[in-house]
Amino acid sequence: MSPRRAAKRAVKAVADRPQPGDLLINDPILKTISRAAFALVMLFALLLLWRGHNAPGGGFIAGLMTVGALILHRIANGDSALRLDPVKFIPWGLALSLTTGLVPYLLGRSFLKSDYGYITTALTGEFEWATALLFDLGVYLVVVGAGLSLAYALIEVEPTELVEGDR
Amino acid sequence: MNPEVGEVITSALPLAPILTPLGLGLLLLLPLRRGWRVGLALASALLTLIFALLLMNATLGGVLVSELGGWKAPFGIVMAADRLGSFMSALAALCGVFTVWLMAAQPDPVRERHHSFALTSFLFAGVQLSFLTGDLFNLFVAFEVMLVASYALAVLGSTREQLREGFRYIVMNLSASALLVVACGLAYGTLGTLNFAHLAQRSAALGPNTTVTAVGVLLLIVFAAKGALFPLGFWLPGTYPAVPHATGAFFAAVLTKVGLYALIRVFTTVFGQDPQLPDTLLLVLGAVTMLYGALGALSQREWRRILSFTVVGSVGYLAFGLGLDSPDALRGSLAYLAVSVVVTLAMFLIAAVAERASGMRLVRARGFIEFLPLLAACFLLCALTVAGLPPSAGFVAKYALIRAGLEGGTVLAGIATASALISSFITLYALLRVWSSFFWGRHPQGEPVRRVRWPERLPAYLASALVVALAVFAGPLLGYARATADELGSNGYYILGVMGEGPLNLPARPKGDDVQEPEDGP
Repeated sequence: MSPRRAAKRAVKAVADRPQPGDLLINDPILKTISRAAFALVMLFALLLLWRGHNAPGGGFIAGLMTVGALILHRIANGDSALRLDPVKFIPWGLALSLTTGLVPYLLGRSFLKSDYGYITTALTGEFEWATALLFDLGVYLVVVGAGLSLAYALIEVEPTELVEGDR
Repeated sequence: MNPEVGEVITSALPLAPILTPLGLGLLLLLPLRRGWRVGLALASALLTLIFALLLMNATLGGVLVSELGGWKAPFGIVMAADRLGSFMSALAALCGVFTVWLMAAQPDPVRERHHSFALTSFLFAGVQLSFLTGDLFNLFVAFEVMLVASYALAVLGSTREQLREGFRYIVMNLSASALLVVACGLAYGTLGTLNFAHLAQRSAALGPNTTVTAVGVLLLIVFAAKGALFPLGFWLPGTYPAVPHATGAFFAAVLTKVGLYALIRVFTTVFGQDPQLPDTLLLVLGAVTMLYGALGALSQREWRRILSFTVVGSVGYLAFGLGLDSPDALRGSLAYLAVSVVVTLAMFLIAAVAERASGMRLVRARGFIEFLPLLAACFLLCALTVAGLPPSAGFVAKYALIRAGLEGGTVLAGIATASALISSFITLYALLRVWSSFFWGRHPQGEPVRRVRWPERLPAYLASALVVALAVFAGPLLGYARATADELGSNGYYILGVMGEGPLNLPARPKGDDVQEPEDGP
């Protein structure tokens, strides 16, 4: 339990009414199911990310699914599954995507040209790798960062001034 | 190359002015010391200018195309630079250099901590992308990149005035962007493509068609809102004075011209089939906008509010020139576009120095010719250029426009020409009044005169020197404008330059050991 949540619960005990920003649904069914759902959604998101460069899917949609999973976790448990500030993902993702495009450009080929090839391993059989995956990973990071920042900004409403009707 | 040869010239160059500010803008997000940031931002602006000039030189020989990911024109996304695009790109890059310089000369720790340098860099990237992109949807993307950066810059600092004006700016531009997406969707639904050259080919094959005309008018409304034509430009004179001097100068000089560029691109290259309705609309809107800008300038008392209204007026002249829809008018518009960008930049830089020197935004102090004689001369020169009086480049460009208007022949063209002449005189009066009430007369005792350091003054002088240079080299400028207008007028030039000749061939499939069809999931 995060100290923030503990503090909120203490306040709740005193004030005995929900505080703004409270997300303590404390529903055991939701908690249990959300754990399984979180894992499933994350797995599916990673699958979409993995196959995205050549089939339906991709970094954007995978990022959105990840954001959905993380918001579900947040709603069920009241604290963030990430220990990092999601805003930090955005510049790194952008830099990764840009670099993926820039490398072939600086080597004299088309901007964003993807390299690809085929690897056969005993475990997986033949599969295709492509540098477009790195680009997708960058997009994924940007979407996760942006989506989570938006969602958290909306969740953590802490009114600082009283308006009429508040009392 | 000659367009007759029918080969597409692919080159890496059209991407360079876009990627430079984008990449270096990302580096500017790193926690660096101010000196490094200033250096990086200046380097990014200068490099962009160099690439844009190289591109301008290269497009003398034909349309340059950059294929993203190596996919050919109608299938993949391409950047295409012709004379018009590269010229605009160079003008914007030039303004960018001055902007970064003034930002460096006016330290602003709060805004810089919130990444004003990086945002400016992204703004440059968005502007360059909108000038060099080869398709309608990426034009929308470019507008969004540019606008998101400009939203942030417009409200960065969160003064009450900025938030109030920024809100109007954001709401107006968001609704225009939504309309732009609708127009993209309609265009794709009707013509099945979004590439400018392919759109032009297909709409020519379709012939005059009401849906295509509707898309054209929708795009006209969107770009009129971005370019601040009369009924849709109400946000402009409030927003630009509220932002800091440096970014305000860039906003004023370039952002409205992006909308105008899009108008030129769409109505010369893409939808040239049925020009009657858009032309009439442009003439009417242009005529009203000119008068609105001139009268607005007359009604204001603050430096940058007056100048913002002259920006609105200049947009009106450009719409007027476009609406005349003749090669001569297009030549005049393009020359006026260049003059207008440079002179607006110079005016806003002069206003920055004047506001700093007098310590207030109102044009009230008198007698500043004693303290800043060179600035007084520069302002007079720029005022003559904006109004379009003889020894200036503004005269050359406006003369070309007015003559094209008189040759237009229709009643509407006549009315618009009269409006252009009248609003020129009103603008002249408004600006001369600024000159006489700020520079002329005796400075009142007790009013403070702040010293403005030379790094802040120099950009104003240099930009004014550029205005002089435009007057001196008016011949080459008009020649370049003529060549650009011819290029835009010969419809096949851009299309062949982007699409090449011959039938469309589907690109070869990638050669792997075994390429399999994508499956529908496990």
